[in-house]
Amino acid sequence: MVEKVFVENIDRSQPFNYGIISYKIIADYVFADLAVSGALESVRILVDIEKPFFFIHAKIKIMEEKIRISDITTITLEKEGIHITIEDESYAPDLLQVLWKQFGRENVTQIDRWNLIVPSNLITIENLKQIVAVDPRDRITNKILDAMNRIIPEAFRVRKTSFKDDYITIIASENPLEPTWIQLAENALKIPPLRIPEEYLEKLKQTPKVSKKKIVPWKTHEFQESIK
Amino acid sequence: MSTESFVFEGGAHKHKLLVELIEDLGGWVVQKKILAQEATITFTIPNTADVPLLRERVLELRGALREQPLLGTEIGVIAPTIARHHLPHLLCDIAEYMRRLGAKTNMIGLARGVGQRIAQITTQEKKIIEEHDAAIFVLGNFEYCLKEYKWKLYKDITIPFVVTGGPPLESVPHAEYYIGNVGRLPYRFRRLEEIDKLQEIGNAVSQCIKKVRSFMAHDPPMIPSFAVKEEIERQVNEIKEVFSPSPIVPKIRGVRVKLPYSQFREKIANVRIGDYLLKEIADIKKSNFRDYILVQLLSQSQIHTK
Repeated sequence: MVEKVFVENIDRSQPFNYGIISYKIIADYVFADLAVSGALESVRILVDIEKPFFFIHAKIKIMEEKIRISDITTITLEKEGIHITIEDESYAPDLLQVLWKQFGRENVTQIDRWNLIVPSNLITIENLKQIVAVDPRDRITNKILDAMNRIIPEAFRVRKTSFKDDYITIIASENPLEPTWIQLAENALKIPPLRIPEEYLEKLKQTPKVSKKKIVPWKTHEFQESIK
Repeated sequence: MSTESFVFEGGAHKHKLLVELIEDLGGWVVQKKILAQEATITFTIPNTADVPLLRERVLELRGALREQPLLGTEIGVIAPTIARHHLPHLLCDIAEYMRRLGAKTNMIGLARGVGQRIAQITTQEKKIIEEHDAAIFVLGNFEYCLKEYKWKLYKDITIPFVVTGGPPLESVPHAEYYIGNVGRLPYRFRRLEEIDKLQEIGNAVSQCIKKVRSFMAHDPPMIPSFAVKEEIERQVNEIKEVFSPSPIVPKIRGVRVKLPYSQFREKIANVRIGDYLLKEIADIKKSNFRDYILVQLLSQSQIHTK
């Protein structure tokens, strides 16, 4: 499997201390828990605990297509306006949000759970079909931001988040952020990532291990006799 | 002479033989639960020399005996905050293990315990922590934080405490006991070596408690807290209407009674124990926990001077 998540110490003299190794484990668990590993191409977490700051730089990759209104509804022109019938109800909240934003709440009439009417003088059917109802990028971005919040230590509340092309970057600290730190982190990003060797991770990974220790439960008679 | 505490598990049949022996040895049955054919008896005996006698009786009954080094103590397990960064895995594991060793545990999240420069502890929090018999501070993963900043949280605590953290260090500043390899981790403890780690924490805490007890033995209170608990249960009927799992919490030096202080102070103060009233051999105070009553037993020299 290709390694996606890299946790590195900015101070390269101590690349694999306990903090770095444990945060690699935490990051792996969090990304697996929130099921966002598929949407990530690479994540680099740079840690400087003495300043202190956490710098997370993630490249996202979106596999899913944008979902347009025509994909989840059938649209017909009626006397009273454009009639929208929702076919896939799981997207209904997102669809309503989009329509409310476009036409205003007063212009979107909800007849029941599945049927909506929009006035026909506001938009043509062809244009309506092309409107994007759900953008998977938004959903994934929110999930990734949530994951990052879980990874970054709780004290680091001063945060700066930036989105650029396919990249999400967060720098977090408990002190006011200094521009030199961002420069420091960006310089560190230019160096290829350092992989934590497996023998370091194995100490903390919860994998089954063979143990030769024989355990006698304390409630058994032989155990009680043995400690007599 | 030092007290020893145990839990017995075995058949309910003939369990009264054990209870009789405990009473003959001058001990107290703290809790007795009979579920169908199974009996679980938690008890304490005053003399270590009697333990072989006890073990023989337990083997006769085909039951099992386990030591409870922390029985009759209250231990606070403290995290920097109660956010999901620190809870639940590690804190719950530690608290549950202490419970298995006989202690009553309280999990405490500080308001602003996180971070380096911004980590702090308030006087109120300190008071609450110091009402326990011992404390366990569960801290994070970075060696730099532990060595430079985190000692602010526990430097002024007057009760014995154990600090746990991620990096395997020999010690951290201002702490007598430090257990490494127990930092912020995203999973529950299941493997054997992890359970051993919990046992290590348990051993450190029981050492703390032993020290407190041996220090107290020079000038002990007139009666142990279990006896006070028993008398309050017998004489204050309202305690039966309290729905908390343990309405009276026994501690090393005293008990906490979960009744409102304003209404029941007098009643608790006038509980009769032998020739004395409780207010003559103990201080009755308002607890830092809600509106509860804290009974702190005075040592014998203090009673004479009172």
